[in-house]
Amino acid sequence: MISVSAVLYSTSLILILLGLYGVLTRKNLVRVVISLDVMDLGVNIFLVTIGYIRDGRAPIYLADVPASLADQASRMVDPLPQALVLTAIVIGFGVTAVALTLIMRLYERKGTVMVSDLRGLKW
Amino acid sequence: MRKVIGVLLIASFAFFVFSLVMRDLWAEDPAAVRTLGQAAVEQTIPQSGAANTVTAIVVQFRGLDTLGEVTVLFLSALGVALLSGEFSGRGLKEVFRDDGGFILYHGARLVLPIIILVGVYIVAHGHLSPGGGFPGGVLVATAVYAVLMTGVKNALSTRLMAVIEGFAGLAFVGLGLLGLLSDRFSFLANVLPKGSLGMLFSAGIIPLIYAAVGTKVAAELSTLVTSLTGSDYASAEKAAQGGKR
Amino acid sequence: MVAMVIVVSVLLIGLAAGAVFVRSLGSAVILLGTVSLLVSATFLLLAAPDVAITEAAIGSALTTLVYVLVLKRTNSVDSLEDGSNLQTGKHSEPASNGGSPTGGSHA
Repeated sequence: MISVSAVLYSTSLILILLGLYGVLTRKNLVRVVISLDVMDLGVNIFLVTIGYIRDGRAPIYLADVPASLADQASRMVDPLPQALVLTAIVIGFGVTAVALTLIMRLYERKGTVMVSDLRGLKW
Repeated sequence: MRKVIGVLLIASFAFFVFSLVMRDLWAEDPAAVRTLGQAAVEQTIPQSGAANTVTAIVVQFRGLDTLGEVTVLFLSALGVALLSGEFSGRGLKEVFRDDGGFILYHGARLVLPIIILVGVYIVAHGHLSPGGGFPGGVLVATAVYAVLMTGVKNALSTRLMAVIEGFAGLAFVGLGLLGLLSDRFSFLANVLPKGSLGMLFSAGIIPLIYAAVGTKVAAELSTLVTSLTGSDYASAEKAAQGGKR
Repeated sequence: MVAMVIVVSVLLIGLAAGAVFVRSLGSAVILLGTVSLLVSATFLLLAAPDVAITEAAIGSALTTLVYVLVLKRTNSVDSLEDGSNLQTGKHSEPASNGGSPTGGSHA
């Protein structure tokens, strides 16, 4: 049978490629930001999948169950990639918010959000 | 033409990546965590007393990265506020003009204290159960949006939010400086007593830091979205001045 | 477990492709919010509840809200990929605005 890690690595890779294609080819600027967001999600899934172990449990200690602490510790998934992804999600939202605000100001000045209409840098 | 180039680029990139990871792609799930994760999981309770290992990593073992993350969020909220609400002047319009009907208006006000309660709960129990400062702060900000959607003018005093945010950030750095005064002489060291596992008042300064982070994030995100809708005090003043002139 | 992961993954790829390729922009934003929720479910299946809560709160609630606000302020809720706009009813005109082509040689 295919393992969980294999399925999720492939999914995250496909999401990244999908997002990259969207960033390269879409003409509407908001759709470019949406594709960037899809790439972000793919990268986050990839990072969390790195820490997954077979039949792993969440990395939180419980004080009132019969299993000892060492027992609980041996079946936890890796918490380090999860800590990194926590930061990555918040910063990804910051990037999206600033990008969308820039698009909004661009619309107020030029009246369009299509890349094909913005020829200010071409000569 | 653009699509063809895009497809070619993506195909070559995909081929490159797949050929690198082809062997590991069909491997089994690992049976045990790697060395650094193992060390983090084992050292959580001796060094920090928190039950949530991810919280111990985010606040204690990699606490400086969290300070950087809070700074990045602050910078993005600042950027959005500068670009959209207060200083854009002309072209400003309010997004939620009407009150959204009876259900939205009263439902948002009914649900507001529950959302704030759940958000504060998630922040306060960050070291015991999943959650922590960031999602808790986001939840409290969501309570503000629920009321904002019903078309309330001047819903949020951004000046008060700026003061709260500043003091919360100051509290974070101040708690870190406490570590410099202790005998361990390191920034963000865990200097308060660690308590017993699973109690609310345990894990040293971790709940205090998460409280500061939660407050800061909630204030920041409320300001961010309010300046995007153009319904904060300063934009209203500016629009009124523009109309008078 | 693997079956659940496969189902969620297929849905994820399908809806993400929808968000990138669907014609109307408003639908793309809603699909993005749904993809965020599915990613949060994936994190739950990977035994990462902290990350799942954060992704659901930020990706699904906040990001969708910010997108909708910006869409409303740029009048592009019904904007399609070729530049036409069902709401304002205009078609995009190529190269009609923008700065001066050269640097501007005389003051």
